[in-house]
Amino acid sequence: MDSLVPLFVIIPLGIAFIIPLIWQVTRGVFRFLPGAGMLAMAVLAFFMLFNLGGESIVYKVGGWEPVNNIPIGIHLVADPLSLMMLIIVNMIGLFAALFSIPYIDKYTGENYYYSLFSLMVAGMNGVVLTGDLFNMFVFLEVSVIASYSLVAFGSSRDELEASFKYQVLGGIASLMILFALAMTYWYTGTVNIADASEIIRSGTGTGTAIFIQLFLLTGFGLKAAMIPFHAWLPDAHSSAPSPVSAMLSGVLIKAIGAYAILRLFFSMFSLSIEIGYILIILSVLSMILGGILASGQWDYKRLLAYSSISQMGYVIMAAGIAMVVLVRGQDAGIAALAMAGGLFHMFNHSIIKGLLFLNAGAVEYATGTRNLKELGGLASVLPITSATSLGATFSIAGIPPFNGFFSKLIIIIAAVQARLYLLALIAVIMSIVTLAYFMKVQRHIFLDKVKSARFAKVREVPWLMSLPMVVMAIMCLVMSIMIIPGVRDTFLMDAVNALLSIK
Amino acid sequence: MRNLILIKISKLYLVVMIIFSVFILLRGHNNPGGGFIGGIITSTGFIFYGIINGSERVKSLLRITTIELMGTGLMTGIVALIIPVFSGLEPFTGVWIESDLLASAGIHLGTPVLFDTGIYLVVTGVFLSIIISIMDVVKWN
Amino acid sequence: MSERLIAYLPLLASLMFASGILAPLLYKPFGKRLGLLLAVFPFLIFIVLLLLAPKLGSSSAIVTREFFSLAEGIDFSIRADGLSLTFGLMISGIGFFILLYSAFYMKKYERQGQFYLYLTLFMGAMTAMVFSDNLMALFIFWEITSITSFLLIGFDHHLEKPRQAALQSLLITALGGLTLLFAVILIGNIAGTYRISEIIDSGLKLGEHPQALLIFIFILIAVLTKSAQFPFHFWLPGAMQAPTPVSSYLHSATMVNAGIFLLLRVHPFIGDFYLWKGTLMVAGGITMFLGAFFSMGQTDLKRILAFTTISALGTMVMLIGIDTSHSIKAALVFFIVHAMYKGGLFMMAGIIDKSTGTRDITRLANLTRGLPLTTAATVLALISMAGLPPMLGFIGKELVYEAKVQLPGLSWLVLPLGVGANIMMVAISLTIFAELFYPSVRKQGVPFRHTEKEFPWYFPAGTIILAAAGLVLGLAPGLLDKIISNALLFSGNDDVRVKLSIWHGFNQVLLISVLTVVSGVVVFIFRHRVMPLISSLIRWFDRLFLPDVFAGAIKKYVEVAARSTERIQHGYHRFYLMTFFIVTMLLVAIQTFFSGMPVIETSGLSTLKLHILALLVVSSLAAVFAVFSGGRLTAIVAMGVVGYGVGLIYLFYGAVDLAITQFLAETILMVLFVMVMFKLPKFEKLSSRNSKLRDGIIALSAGAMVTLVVLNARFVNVFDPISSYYAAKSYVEAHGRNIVNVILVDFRALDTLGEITVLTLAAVGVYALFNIRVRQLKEKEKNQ
Repeated sequence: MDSLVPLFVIIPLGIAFIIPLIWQVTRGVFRFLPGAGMLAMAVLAFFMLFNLGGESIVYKVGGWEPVNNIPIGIHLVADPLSLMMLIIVNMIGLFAALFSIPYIDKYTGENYYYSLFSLMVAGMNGVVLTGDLFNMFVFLEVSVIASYSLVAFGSSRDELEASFKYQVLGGIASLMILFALAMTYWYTGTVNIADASEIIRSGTGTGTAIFIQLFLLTGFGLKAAMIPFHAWLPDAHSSAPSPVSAMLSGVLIKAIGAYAILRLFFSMFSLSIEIGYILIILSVLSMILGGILASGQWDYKRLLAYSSISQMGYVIMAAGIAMVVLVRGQDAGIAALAMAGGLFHMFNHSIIKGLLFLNAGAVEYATGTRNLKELGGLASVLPITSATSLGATFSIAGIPPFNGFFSKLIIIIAAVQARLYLLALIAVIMSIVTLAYFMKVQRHIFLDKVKSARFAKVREVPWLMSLPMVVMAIMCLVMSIMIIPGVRDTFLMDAVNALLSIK
Repeated sequence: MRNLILIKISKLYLVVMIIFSVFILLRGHNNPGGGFIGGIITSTGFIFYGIINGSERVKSLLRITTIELMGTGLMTGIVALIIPVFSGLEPFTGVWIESDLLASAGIHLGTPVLFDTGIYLVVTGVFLSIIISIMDVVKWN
Repeated sequence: MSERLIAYLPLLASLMFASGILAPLLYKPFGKRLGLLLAVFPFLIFIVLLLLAPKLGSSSAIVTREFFSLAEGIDFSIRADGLSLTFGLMISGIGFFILLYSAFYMKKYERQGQFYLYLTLFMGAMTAMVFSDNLMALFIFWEITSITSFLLIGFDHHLEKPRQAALQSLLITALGGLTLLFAVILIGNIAGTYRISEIIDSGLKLGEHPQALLIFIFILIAVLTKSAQFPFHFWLPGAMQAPTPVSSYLHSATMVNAGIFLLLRVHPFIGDFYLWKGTLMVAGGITMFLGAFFSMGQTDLKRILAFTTISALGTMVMLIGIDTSHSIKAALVFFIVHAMYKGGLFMMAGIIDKSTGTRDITRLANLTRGLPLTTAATVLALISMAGLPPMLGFIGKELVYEAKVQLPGLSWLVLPLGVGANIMMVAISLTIFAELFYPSVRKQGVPFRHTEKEFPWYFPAGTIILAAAGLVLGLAPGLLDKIISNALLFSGNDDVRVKLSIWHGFNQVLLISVLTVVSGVVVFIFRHRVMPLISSLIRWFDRLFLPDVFAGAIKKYVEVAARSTERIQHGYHRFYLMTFFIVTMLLVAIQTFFSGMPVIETSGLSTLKLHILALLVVSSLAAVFAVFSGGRLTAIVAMGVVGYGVGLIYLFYGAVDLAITQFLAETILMVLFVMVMFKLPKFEKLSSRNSKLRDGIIALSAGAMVTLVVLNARFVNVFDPISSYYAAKSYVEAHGRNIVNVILVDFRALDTLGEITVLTLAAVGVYALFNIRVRQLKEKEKNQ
């Protein structure tokens, strides 16, 4: 099974390089290639997760065995957490890729689109798999640079502007991250995460480590679009073609933002209360401001983008709670609970937000606009889109029995148990706000009367677009089984244990 | 700008640079040099040529587009990384041609060198692509 | 036996959920008969519960093991005691009639499949809620009822009013739901379990707990919102926009009574909290009076009923607030009474609507002719509502009065409110009867479109049977004794003796009843004076009152949100960058402040060589020069100097490859700059003095921060760094002496592959962007 690990990087890279070359041959078939690749990888990740039983595989690239236990090559580490992330990335990737097939038809340069799309996935797969800091940075760059291009794919004025802002801020963040990595290398003399963790935790004096963490936090915080580093996200996520938005909001900010924060702060550095509090403060800011900003939007996709900021706040807050609990020396079970909630919410939010962006794409595809003030009454003409978006709305607002409810519930329970009542209260209140602004969406897009004659001829989107939406809507409901004890142990708790190193 | 001597010089310079860069590429494994540097050196040759002769001439001289050049480089790199699979090793492993004769001459041939060649092509392609694009826009042709 | 019976409950409930989910699919083959088919499930549940009731006795509860566990502590198990049975019987019984009723009422609607989906889900959730033995499960079903009721209320979503009403009810009840969640988590945290039976058995009393206030407030909000109590009562009349079957179901036995159920459920363990009495009594009392009072001012039949519902709910909340065994008994009986007559009356409103096309009581008259059976049933229900014998309503009202009279200390306040409300109830009952059914010659009603004979039997069945049941129970109230006594026990009362009878003998209570009826008749006689007065009062209230406040608050919130968007998402890129740097620096500064200024150790550093110092000085000067230079060319050259300086530093420290790359890249960059230089817009100074100063400060402090952090960094690795291994392995295993190159192409080939991919991506990006421009230029040329 070991040698299967690099496939997660090789398959999408191969697809990315091969598509432009063979595009001219048969376009019809190769459009399905990225989707097929991601399906294969998602299945593979699933298979590995089941067969690992909580263990992790270390794959040494190039066969460079460690010398005196000091790794010299790059290691790819497939542990339950990274496998879970792989499942998310490739699954959402699969849906978005299928959705793209009719959606991207109207653009020129489809081949480049699929190529860039695959590269983005390759980068994210690399980031979640790698056990090496610098390698993580490289893959991060692969995925974000691909995403810069994808944001600008429509090459209209707005899209270029959004992409430019995204690039500049993203570039600064990458610089911060690179600087922090250089510092880490200096500090520990290695770029291998496991090795560095051993050195940092055995060493004395955490002063430098804290500074490194601060830089990483701002760098990755920007990639995860935590307020106040969120400025690029609403533009970028709303300008991109909808399936790309689904990828950006659904997985990119998680794979290269939240995942990296969790992985590095929990598995590499020694935990510290300062970082825990900073995480909590930033996440609360994100939750509240993201929610309020989302309420004021009239552009469907911008609203979704702000909502992503708000929802990522929940994930980071759960991480912050876990860290504070662990540092304070409270019951590790509470930390595990919080982390499980956070990871579960991350998983759920991928599906929900992916679905919502696909809905937005379907609406835009069918009507040509995404302005809430122009739309209305689409429930009768777009029944599938409307029904799936209602499901996603309930899910993201935390209405039982949808999956979003359970993840928020776990986070709130953990917050209460950790005696952080205020956080629990904020989480609860933001749920209402979430419900309110998604009701606004429902009201102005799907309910109400049809406001303009040009929407009279609107028809439901092609099956390749509605199929992913239906599947994801069903998943919104079905993913609730993740908290049933048996299932949870395989999916969530193994990942939590891998992260918190609780045996 | 059409200065005959300059044109000749630029051609000569290009040839010299290409030969020099190949030399740098091949010796890179043991001495300072390698694909990155080699690629940049080649592109300086082309840039000089381009400044004097215009971007259209560079394009016609290259015969393939810069995108294809980069693609070729990437494929070369990937092929180099995958070759070990055929000799029963993990991908990314280095495979070397064991030859005393070459070794005594200080030359080692193996997949890493091929990979380096890939880098060389990509870097050349990247620089040329950027420069030619800019030249096109500012109408340097 | 009872164990086996109860085993059917989850089965039936899940069948109900399943059939509900399948409803849109079932609609095709079954069509209009779908309602009749689905009615089987609540009927079966009703039968099971009915059989279960005698098994229960008066002091035992049946609690099953969990049959499905969602997570630790959150499991689904059934608790059947008097309380849940009382509610469950009403929910399933009335649900059965509602489904029959909808089968006819909804037949002209579109999307009936969805309607039945929502309705059955709602029914299932409601049933499951009252039988859950787990607070968390209770909450989950509570939320499902909120959502499904939202969908039901807003079923006619192409109209503005239902949409507004549905949204209002959803936001308000969802608020309550989330506070309930919070309360549940807190209770679970204190008790260590979410299982109701365990909490009750442990005899836990939360009244003295420090968090009791929090828990109580959260539960209170949940109850007040769900049961439409003052000041959250305004969503209920709005919810009348729903199709009539929905209103009759939601507002008779289910939805709004969930709050009452919750209060009774948590009463055993938090009823001893010191605010319990006062708050509930005040909220309930105000609601009771306002609801009854306002109902007089309405002309729409459904709105009249809505306000009387609010009043009835207020009565129940107040009774629970009085918190004696008597009052809770009264509340339970009153719940049954109210569910039965209100369900019937709402259905009656729908029948009248169907047969005449209007629900306006001023336009209706002489309905007896076309609707004889309905009239008979309605009269019984109205008698019950007015609290007159021989209906069950009489017993309910007597108990209510009794509870109020016996209330120590506060009866002077509670009693007048209650009597006032009841006077209004009598008056409104009489009004409805007089306007709608009393054969009058003066008033000309709208003509019938359909008469009763044209309706299928199952359409008026609910109204008739519920009225009949009210009569039967009124004559033989002893049937309810056991179940209510059981319910009393499990809602935490000491005195569980229940002996209901219709005749209590002459006492104070009967006297008040007579007084009530007489005053009611007086109000009725003067109704033409009273009603305009009240309706003008309502209008006045409406103008400055809660629905508008609510809508205004929402609007305000959206405005604030939009405004804060402008403030936070201002679109100035430089400020975004600034925010990033400032926050980073702040974090570092705070950290420095708390951990003390870093001690910069000079001992480990190698001495600075003179030529490197010179290089540093030159590079720094060049950088400063580039900032202050007046022209673009000089700035570029200065930047070049900085670049070469950095390259030289690499060279001096032995990184030859790096140095060469840096030099070459720097050269190419310079060439590029020079190439595009003349195409760039004019070099202008756009920043003001102040903004320059600000930028300068930020830039310098960012630099200072980085320097500080770097100087503070220390090497902690006690082992050898990997670089020495690279040096050792490089030639032996990787056949290369140039370590940099070997690392690039062998040790870390994956990184390099990634890097060249990034490079390619960047180049393709540039190529694509410029190509757009080139194409534009070419088109322009062609056009010229």
